[in-house]
Amino acid sequence: MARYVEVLFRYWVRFAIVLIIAPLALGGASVAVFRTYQATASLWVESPDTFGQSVTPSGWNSYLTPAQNQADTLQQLITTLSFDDQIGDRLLAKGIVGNRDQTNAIVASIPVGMKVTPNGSHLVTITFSSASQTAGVGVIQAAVDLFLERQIALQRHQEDLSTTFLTGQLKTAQAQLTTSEAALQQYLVDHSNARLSTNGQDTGIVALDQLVHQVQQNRDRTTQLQTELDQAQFLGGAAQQLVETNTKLVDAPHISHAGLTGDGNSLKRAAIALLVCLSVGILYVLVLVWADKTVRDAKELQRRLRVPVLATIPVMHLEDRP
Amino acid sequence: MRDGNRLEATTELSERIATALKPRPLAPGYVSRTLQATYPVTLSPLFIDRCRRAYLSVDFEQQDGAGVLGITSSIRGEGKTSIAIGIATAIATDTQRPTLLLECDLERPSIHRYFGFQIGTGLADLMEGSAPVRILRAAAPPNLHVIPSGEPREDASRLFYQLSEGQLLEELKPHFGTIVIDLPPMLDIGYSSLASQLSDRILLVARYGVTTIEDLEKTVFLLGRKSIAGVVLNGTEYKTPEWLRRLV
Repeated sequence: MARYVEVLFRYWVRFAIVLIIAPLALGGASVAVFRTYQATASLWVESPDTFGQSVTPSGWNSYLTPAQNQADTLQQLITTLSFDDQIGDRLLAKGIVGNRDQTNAIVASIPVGMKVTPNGSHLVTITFSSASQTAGVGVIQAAVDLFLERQIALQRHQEDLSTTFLTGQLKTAQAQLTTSEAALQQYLVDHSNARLSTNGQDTGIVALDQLVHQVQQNRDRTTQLQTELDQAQFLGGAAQQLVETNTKLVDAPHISHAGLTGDGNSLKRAAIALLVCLSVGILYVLVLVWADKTVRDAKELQRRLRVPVLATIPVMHLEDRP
Repeated sequence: MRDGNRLEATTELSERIATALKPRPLAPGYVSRTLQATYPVTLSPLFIDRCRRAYLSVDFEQQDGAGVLGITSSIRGEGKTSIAIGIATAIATDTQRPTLLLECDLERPSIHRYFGFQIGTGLADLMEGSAPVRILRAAAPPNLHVIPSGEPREDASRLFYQLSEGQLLEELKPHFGTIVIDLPPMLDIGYSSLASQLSDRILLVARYGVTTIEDLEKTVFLLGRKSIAGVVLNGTEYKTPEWLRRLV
């Protein structure tokens, strides 16, 4: 131990450079030159129960909180290239960034720099770190706008798909009903003595009974499809309304961390610089101690040789006679 | 011729030692044929005190004659000779008894530079039998005496072996309270194991920031842990504040 301490004091200038001046310079440069800002926004997500029935938007997981659902969706969205490119296009269009290179640099930083965190059950916090305050706020604003637009578009698409499908089914069923009713009518014209049962029971005429059953089945099918279509239209509209109304920007994008500390990354870099310098310093001490095989400590000498050290004589000069 | 010289040297040794030890007023630069005086070595009081601290921590076993303390290091340039001089000075000052500093670094003698005398003849010449013993008396403290090793020798191993096998130290012991031997660096010579035979205890000098632990471990192995009284850590230059060093 004494050897290590002695090395520190012996080469104190070198260690002062490695352990104090270098970390200060690197940390200072990190804080002053490579300053970053953190922009923040908050979204409030309402529960689907607000609409009084179990209306759930597309991709909604009922086992997660509303905030978690939206945070998951947004988090996945920002990792997609198309979403990030669209953000870049908006920044360029609004004049927040000057050219395509800057846009590309910001777009490339979105998957790493943007954090979406559910806060509690209904609040989602979005943060983004950037070297520019304007870009930071702009990216979050564009991301939130795009997210809400995409959600609504998705719901519309889902609704369109289901109504188109059910409408087609309904039309087919209605055509079949018309055909079967026409066939029944034709049978009754052809067989004037045939009468329909008033109490709904079979007439005993096999062909007539089959036609009646066919009409009834088609009527039921048509009614059922009509009900399903009505419900789908209602649920689609409700879900769309839910997305439009239940996700609100309650805290507009703003710079939350500025100044010397910025978003904390500057301090992190400074801390890393300090750690690196400290490691280099420790390594340097170890190397110096390892390389120096000479006697530096009386206690160590005594321990290694198992011979007592009787005296230590400090450096002094014996005057030689001429 | 050499044998004749050696005999002469041996017979004259006691006489010359007695001459050297005889109290007489000395002036710096005083030179005689058999006895030379040295310039006073300027040592920092702090340095001597630290050397004294090391010396006082050495536990000499009970013995009749002088205690022989060897000072050595792993490699050159660790301050071994300076500490040998510092310890010898401290002992001479404290005990007031005749103290001898014997330079045994035959390959690279350096004591003459500290005391400021001409290198001349010395221990190596005595061992070869080509010159009588040369004992110098330090200007201060006056009871400190020095036997230099003489001119650098290439066959130091042989001479060192002769020294360890001969009776020189035994003859010197009765005349001195303590004999401090400035031994050669242990990893630079091939006869390091003999060093422990010359000395009762050995102080190992290590230089802060220069000597490697590995070299010291080798030295301890060569000398044998039992003969080593301890280590003197020389040239410490701690940058860590004292209070913090105590904590860690």
